[in-house]
Amino acid sequence: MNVSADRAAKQGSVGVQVSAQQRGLFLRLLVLGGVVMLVSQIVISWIALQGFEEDLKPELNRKAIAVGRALTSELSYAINDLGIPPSELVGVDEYFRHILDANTDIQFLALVDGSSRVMYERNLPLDLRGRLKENAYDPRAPAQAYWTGNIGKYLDSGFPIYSNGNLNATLHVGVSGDNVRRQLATVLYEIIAVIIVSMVITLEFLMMFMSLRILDPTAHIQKVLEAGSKGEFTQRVFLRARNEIGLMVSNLNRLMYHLEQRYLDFQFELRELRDAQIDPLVSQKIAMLKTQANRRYWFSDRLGLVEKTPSLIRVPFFLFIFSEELSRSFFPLFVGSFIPIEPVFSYEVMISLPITLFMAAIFVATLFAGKLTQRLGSSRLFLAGICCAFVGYCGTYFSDSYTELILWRCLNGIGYGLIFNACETWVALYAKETNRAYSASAFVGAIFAGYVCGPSMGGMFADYVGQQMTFLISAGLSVVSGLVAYQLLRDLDAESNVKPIPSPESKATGLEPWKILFGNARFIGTVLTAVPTRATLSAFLFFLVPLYLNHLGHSNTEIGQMMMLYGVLIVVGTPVIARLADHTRRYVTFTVAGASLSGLGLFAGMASGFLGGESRAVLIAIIAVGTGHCLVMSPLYAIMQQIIYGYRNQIEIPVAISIYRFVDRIGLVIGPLLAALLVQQMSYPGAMATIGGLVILAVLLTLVAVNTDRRRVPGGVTA
Amino acid sequence: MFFGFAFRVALLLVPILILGIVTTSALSVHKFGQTFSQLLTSRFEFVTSEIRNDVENQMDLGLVLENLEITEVLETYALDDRQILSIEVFDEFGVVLYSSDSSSLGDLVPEEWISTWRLNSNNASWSTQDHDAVVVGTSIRNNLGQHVGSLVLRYSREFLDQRIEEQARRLFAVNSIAAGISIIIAFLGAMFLLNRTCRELKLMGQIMDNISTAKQKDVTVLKGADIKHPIYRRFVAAVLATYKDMDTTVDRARELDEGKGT
Repeated sequence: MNVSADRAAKQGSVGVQVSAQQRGLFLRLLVLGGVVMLVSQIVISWIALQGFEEDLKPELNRKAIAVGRALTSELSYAINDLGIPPSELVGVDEYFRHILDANTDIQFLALVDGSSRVMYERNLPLDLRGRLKENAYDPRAPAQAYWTGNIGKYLDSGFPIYSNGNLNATLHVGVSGDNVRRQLATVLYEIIAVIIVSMVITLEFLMMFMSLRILDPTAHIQKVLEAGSKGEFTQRVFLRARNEIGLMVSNLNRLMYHLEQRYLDFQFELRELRDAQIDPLVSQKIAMLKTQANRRYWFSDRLGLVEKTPSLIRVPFFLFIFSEELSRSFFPLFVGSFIPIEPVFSYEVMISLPITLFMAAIFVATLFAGKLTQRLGSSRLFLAGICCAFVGYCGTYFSDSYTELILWRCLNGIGYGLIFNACETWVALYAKETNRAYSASAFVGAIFAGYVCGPSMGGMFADYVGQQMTFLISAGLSVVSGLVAYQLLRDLDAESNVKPIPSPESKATGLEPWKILFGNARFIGTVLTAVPTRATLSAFLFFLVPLYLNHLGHSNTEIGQMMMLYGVLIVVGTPVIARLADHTRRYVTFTVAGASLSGLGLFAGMASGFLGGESRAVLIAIIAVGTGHCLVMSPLYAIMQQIIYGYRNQIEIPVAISIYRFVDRIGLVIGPLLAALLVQQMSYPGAMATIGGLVILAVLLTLVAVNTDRRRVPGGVTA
Repeated sequence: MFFGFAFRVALLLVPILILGIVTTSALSVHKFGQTFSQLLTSRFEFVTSEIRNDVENQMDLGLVLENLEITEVLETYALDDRQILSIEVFDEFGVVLYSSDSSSLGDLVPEEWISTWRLNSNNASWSTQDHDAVVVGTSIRNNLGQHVGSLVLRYSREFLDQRIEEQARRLFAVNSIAAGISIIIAFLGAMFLLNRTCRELKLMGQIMDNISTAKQKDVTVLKGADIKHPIYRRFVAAVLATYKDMDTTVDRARELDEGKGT
């Protein structure tokens, strides 16, 4: 190894070491944020539920008293007015059963004689049979209409039935706090969803803060220090921050300036000494000293900006996806309320149309987005997309007909397409050659973090404030996303300066890029996996899941929580898979395994009998699809980037991206329509299984395409 | 104004923390209200069903709805429970036939009650909201199975709202304390975690300042300094070496100039 290579290797190792330390710090901060959030939420929820239970128990007892009074009056009539002895009453069991069936919050009913022997009972727990005397009538106490006491975990109210002033029988009505606890416990799922959403938001913002304020500046400072340690004092850091790094940077720049001034003085002194020499030999020696010094250290006063990273786009993109995903769990049901009395197509197709056209709008926007990105830059395109999305959400809120709804959703789709392309271009521009899959995971991760937060919160909002109002919340969130994007990416000129996009004259235009890309069997293989993956997403998750779960009687909140699982899996799994894929470079293996898993998972609906019911089967399918997509997403994106990067001299990067996205979105567009047509013909599980079968078929075709590419270019595929 | 990293990180956590706590609290209070309301409604549904049984028993004996003797029953139930505002029986046209409050006899019930009753006449009970009360109703059938009217019980929302408000106030107090403690923990935790990094950055800045202001220009500047990152040490060493090298080079040039050097 030569000296310079050795130096580079040393530099690299130091860089990795410091970067690992910073990442460790980031992880610790993340754990801190997560733990504080989790513990505080758990404590608060626990305290809340305790208080609620205390407050609800007396109310539950009042119900028991109401029931007890009514029953006592009936029994008194039979015993006193009709003269039937309590032990000879007929049909008491049946009567008690009827009362308990109609009042599920009452746990048991029992009629006991004067010595607390049970004569008739319904649902009385075995262990309480001998214990009812613990709450028996106290003859020393003044006569009362009823009394209440605790027996085990039950609150038991006793109602005496007197005959000629003597206690003849006592009716016991028991209630349990378990019932209240069970009812309150349903809020726990919602609270868990809120905790997860809070954690994801914390993660996203902390990641942005760390990246913007600590990781990126320190990485840049490190470069300057590395260069300086080799005598290369050519850069200073441009960073304005009123924190520890800002102070350090200003001291560093001052030191560099001072050193440079000393260097200029040094040069001046040597020049003076050399010029004043009469003896050419001495003059030559001084000149040599100067040259030797210049070899050891050199200066310039360039101001280096902190480099932009792919992760910078993550938070605004996440917020936008969050806003879009709010309506995901109830959108098909929302569309249902707009369908005219005499629809043009079948009910299922009418529901799928706004979703399909929304996807088609994304598809069309992708067509123009490539060129628009070149003209406007990704930051301006992002803001343009946000404007479209905002107007679309507001329009959806105000729309009162099916046609209006479609139009506004299409505008939303255009916004989505523009934003998606802007982000993708941003990542492609600022990703490093060595961490493409990881950079992609920053982008893919933001989408799926949105998938975690959106459906669950959207479902809750829909249940609490109404489905239409949720679109207004989406509009507000999109504005926040725009503001964050403006703050983070507003340095538009710098964006184009960092990596200038080469002039289009040297690149293929028109249909030429299409021919080039589709001439590559690996690209075809990538598309063959991407299209069904997208189709699964839009057909299964966006269309079938809300309708099927609603059909099974689940609320918006529950549907949202189940859909959230998909996002949770992706958020947790994507970075791990991305690193693993980058490490092993087996991108194709990951995509094939992931697509197969998602395809097979869709057969879960057919086996609902073995899986413990239809709802559980849907849940298992969501988990399988989520895990499968987790394996597919980042590696697929990395393969695409590899291919596009390989053709960078022939095709513009944004153009190549938009071609890939254009083809890839076909899956999103056809998904809901395909699902609607399938549901028309068969049951929900049948439709799911058919889509699963199509995915498996696509996987087989991908394998054929990849093998063709391998045979054509020996060793060309690193799968 | 100077804000350190720890402060900024903690500041970042605060709004998210508060947002999470507020959302959780709102959901909890909403659930409490829902459960409490369900319990109340269930109790009053039982009461109405008991009265309806009385009414239908009398009708089974051949009496028509207009000629029943139930006013006393209605008054007894209403007096027994402070939360009950009134219990009324109205016919199919919405005219109040019997009431625990005699002043409303002959009045017409709100249109909404009639439509809700008609819509839910086959259900065991129905309920709707008045501005100050919750209305629980049950349909009355004659012995031919025809819906001839409805029995309604109005109970005060004030009681329900009051309980919800009390719980909300209690939760607000508890959550404020919890949020305060969480914020303090977040601040202290962030300070603890970032302390080392911040200290090292500060120290490094100080050393650089010392060198540039010529307070210290030799390797002693690094002695005892708790700097773990090798790159910081190497940079400072390189800067000091450069200063020294320039001084040495100038000295040698001077020596050459003075004819001392070779």
